[in-house]
Amino acid sequence: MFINSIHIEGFRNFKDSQIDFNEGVNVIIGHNNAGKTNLLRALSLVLDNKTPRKLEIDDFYKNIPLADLLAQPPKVTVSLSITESKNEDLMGDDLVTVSPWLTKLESPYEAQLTYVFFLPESEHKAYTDALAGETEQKKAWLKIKHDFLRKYVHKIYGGNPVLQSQADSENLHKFDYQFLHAIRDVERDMLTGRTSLLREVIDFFMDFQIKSDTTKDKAAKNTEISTHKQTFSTDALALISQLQTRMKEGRDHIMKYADETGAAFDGAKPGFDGQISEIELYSALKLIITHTTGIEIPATHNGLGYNNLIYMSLLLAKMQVDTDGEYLGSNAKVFPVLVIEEPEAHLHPSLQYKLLKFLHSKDTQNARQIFITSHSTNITAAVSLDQIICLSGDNSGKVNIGYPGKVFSDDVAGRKSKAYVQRFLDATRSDMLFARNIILVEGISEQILVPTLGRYTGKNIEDTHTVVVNVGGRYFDHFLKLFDSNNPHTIHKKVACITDRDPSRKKTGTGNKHKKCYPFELHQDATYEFNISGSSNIAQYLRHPNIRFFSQDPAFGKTLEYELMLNNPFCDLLITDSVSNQAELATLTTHLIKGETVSDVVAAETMHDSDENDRIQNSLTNCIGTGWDDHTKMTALVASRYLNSLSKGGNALEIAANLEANLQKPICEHFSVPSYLSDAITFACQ
Amino acid sequence: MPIIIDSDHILPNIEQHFKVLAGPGAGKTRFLVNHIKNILYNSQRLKILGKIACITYTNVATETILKRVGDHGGRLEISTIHSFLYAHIVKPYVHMIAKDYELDATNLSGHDDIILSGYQTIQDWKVKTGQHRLRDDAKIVETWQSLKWKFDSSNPEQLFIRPPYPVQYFSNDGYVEYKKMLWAKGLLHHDDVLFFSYELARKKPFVLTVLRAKFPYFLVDEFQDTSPIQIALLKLIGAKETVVGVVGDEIQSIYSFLGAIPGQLNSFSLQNIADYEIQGNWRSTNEIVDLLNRLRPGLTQTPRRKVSGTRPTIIIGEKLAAISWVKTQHIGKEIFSLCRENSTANALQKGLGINIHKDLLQTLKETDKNSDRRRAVSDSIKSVEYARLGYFKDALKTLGKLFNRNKTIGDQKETLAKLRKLLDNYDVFTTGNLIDLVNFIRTNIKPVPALRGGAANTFYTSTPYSHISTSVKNLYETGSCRTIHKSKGDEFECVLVVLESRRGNAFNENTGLSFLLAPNLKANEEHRVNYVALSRAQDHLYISTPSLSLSNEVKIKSMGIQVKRLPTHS
Repeated sequence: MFINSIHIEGFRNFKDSQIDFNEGVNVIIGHNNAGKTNLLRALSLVLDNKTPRKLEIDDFYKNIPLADLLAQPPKVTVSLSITESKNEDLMGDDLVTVSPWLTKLESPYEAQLTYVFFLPESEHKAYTDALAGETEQKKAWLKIKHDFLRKYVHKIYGGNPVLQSQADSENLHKFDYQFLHAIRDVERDMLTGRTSLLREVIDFFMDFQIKSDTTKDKAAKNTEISTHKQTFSTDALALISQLQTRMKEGRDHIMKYADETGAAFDGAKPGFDGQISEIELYSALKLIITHTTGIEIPATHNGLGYNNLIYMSLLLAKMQVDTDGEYLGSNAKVFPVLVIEEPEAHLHPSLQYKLLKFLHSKDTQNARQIFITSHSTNITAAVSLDQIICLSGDNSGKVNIGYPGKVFSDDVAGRKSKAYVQRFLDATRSDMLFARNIILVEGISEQILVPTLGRYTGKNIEDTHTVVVNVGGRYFDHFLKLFDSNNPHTIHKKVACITDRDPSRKKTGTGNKHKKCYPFELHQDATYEFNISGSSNIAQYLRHPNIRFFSQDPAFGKTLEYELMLNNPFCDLLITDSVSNQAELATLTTHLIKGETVSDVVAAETMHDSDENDRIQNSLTNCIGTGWDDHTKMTALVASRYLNSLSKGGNALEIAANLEANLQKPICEHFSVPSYLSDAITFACQ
Repeated sequence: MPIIIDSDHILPNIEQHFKVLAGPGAGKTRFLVNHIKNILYNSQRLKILGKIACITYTNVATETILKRVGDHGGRLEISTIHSFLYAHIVKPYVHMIAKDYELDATNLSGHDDIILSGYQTIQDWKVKTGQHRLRDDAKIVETWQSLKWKFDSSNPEQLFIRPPYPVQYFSNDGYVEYKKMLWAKGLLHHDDVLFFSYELARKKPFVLTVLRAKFPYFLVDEFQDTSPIQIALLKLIGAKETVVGVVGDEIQSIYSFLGAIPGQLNSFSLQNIADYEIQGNWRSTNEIVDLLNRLRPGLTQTPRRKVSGTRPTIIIGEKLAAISWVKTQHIGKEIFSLCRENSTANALQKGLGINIHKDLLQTLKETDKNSDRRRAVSDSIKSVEYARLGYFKDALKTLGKLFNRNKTIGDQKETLAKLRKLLDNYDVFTTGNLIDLVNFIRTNIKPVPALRGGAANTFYTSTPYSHISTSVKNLYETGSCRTIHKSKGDEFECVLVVLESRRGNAFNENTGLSFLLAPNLKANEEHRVNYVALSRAQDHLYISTPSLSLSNEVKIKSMGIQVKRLPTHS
């Protein structure tokens, strides 16, 4: 069986939410205050028998309209739904554990546990009377706190909650809820055999080579183990008598006073004796770390991160102990749940990755279901999309729950998208799951430049928790499936997609391929077919609740760098060291300043002789499209020449550096951000 | 043919269905205890939560098994079949099918012997079933009381509800309508527990999967008294995974009035079932075993105690005198009197020699048409009698029916206060006729309507309290005077079997003693009942009869039974 969902009503930031879980590992992510810890707390209200189930006033969902609050006392309900696993052995302990709570009497079975924290019906009249006429929410809550909270009761119902049949604690105790706080003191809990965790684990694994030997029967094992115990106590006895021998003289001196005070009377004689049992000696065992060099150090001197890992491994060992029916009989746990808050604490990224891979593996089946909250992209990168649950809250207090694994349709296209996204989400790019807003871009240049351009637009990308993710081409569709709020299970974030127009043309007739072209070549030659990217996407998402596409002007735009130059033809900041043809570009700028046209450039033979330069000059000279006046053509010439002078991908970093440095200057040079970029940034960083 | 085993025998294979035939005193409890221990030690299938279910019908067996098995760590669940089915099937799951039966499952609180009998209920039922012409309300209630769920012979999967053949008063069906009226109040009769268990198993077979997971082993004691519905359920459970073991004695089948079918133990079978028989008798002296063997040609028990004791004795005379005489024979020993009728046992327990022969509480129910008054009187009597025996929980539950079924703390307090009043003033209303109680109730317990002549008035003014109190069922088989049915499974050093006239007819010794004179245990249930009674005795066995002709005396003596005639005082 496994816990397949939790339904939380009226608890902390959850007004009314259902969160679905997977069998095995569940990684719950989300920005701060999205409710990750609250979700774990809700889980513990039902499953954890060690922490109190009585709630405080601040545990209520507070965003209740005053009128509702006056009419009805607030109530917390947390309902867990448990269902049969695939290929479950129905003769096992799982079904027995949940049998009193079944809500569906067929395979796959379903069971329900419901925690409720409520004001009993008999107090309702007193409640409505006391709160009648209250005009302030704050005061109403204060009254509840002082006069009614103490009368609240909590119950755990099994099965259909309408029947209000209380879940018996014996069965509830078959769940084991092991919780690792984000702030944990592993040293206190772990280091020596004096602590119960280590002692229990040692005791269980003592003589494990015998206990786990499948070739021996129970009786043979018992004999062998008791022989070991016998040997131990004989040896221990020898030690004790050794001490006694050495104490022989001393004893009389110590006890001299006993004789004198009369403590020894009637021939009674105080002395020293004792036994050492194995369990007592466990406390002498300390966790030590032997390095490859052979040097041993106590675990206290170990790094925090390592100790965290060791602690978790001990906990898993303890879970194995707790579920062993041979060892614990009917006291054994049936369903251990491991809950780790931020396992990344103190851990190097590569260790985070390794830990998650381990938790994910078959070796950890001692924990039947694992819940992890995390802010670490290394952790999301280590698990599959299906295991990720993404919480996010909007300003209205509504919690949005996204299941990245479920947003893809179950067909060829859907599976392809899912596989693509899964492969793509490495540690860096998983950022998109954590951020509030996302700007998806096609290439490295945009990824580098957009944050800087954001500052020129007056927006701070980092402060608004916006990330710029390079999807490496026009693969937006795969990712947008994760975020399209029109579809179920998606993660609702603002997503701005920035795409280039990349105009192209193709000779009519079969067998010909599209090749890049310049904007001023579009629709000029009837023997070609033309294509401009982006338009259909822009149209498709024009009124979308959370996604927009942004691109250059369809008639004049081409790529990012082209657009930058088009908007800033006189700007030195764009002419970085690695730009070639710098002299030629400077001359072209002079032409532009003088108000000269393309024909002037041709006449002056400014551009050196090349097929591409001839093509630009000829195309511009022949261009007769709408809006293509002499000035426009001239800037297009500069932008084209600039574009062709860039080394592939190398310039973005330099441009960004120039632009950042410019911002630091007392009087900075004007730089105009292309409108499609400033629009995109403004949309995303609202 | 069954394999003959001893009661100490340990079954080599705990994973095989089995059946054990065992006569009285054979040591079947000892066998069961050994087998339970065998499972606890050796089973690989109990895992963490698996349990052994052990169905018994008597508290004696329950206590003995629990004591001898020792600390089973929650691995053993002993209960009656009704409690078992209620706890594991009906209570948790009946709400899933409740709608189909108009059952209010939100309000279930156990099961009892409830029969609706209120005036309004009867009228509503007549309207519902279109039987306005029926006049005799008492007869209707009597019919309701006798309703039993049975298998439909034309459709063996289906249960239907009928009174037994001679009781049938109205031909029109309307029994289910009656049940639905009961269920709509969230009330369940014992028999309905079987019905709903079976319906759940039929409609939601997954309950069987759950049951099998919880109970990999299912043992049934006194199997001969199991009803057909129970057997059907047992077969369903044992069809897979769960191993079923049954123990019983065909000849001790004395519950046919509850639906048990004689011969069902012999015919019971499951796939690959192993059959065993235990032939010894560890309970009784050679003389008693000898008498039992004479009555039962099909089984010759070996007396395993090998102790010779007094010869069984038949006493001719009045039953209280018989008890006194037996006491003089065994000074300081407790004599257990076993009789056929509940009222006789209760009267004897109170030292009364009266023969009421009928259930006066039932007569009260039929006579007083005022349901409030009737219930107040009846529940007060039951409650105070329970309380005087020390069964306060039952006393409060019964009296609580008058006070909103003890639903709130306030109701419970009121019930408690009223019970105290009844106990404190017991002498005030018990020395005379019932009218004293009615008056006491009206001023102290509940304001019920006063009596205004009529049959009810006659009944209340002419029936002594001491007589009606004998109709209160002895809940826990305690006391030294018991019915034979309640003594089942128990054993006593010294037993007096009280024979007497039945249901008010004059005693006919040829019928009454036919179990000795011409025994036919297989065919005659009354013979079996007396056989059960005789076989309770360990050391001393006495039979009390009102009369014995000389010719019969000869026959009796020839069986090795002594005859003692008590002097008559007339």
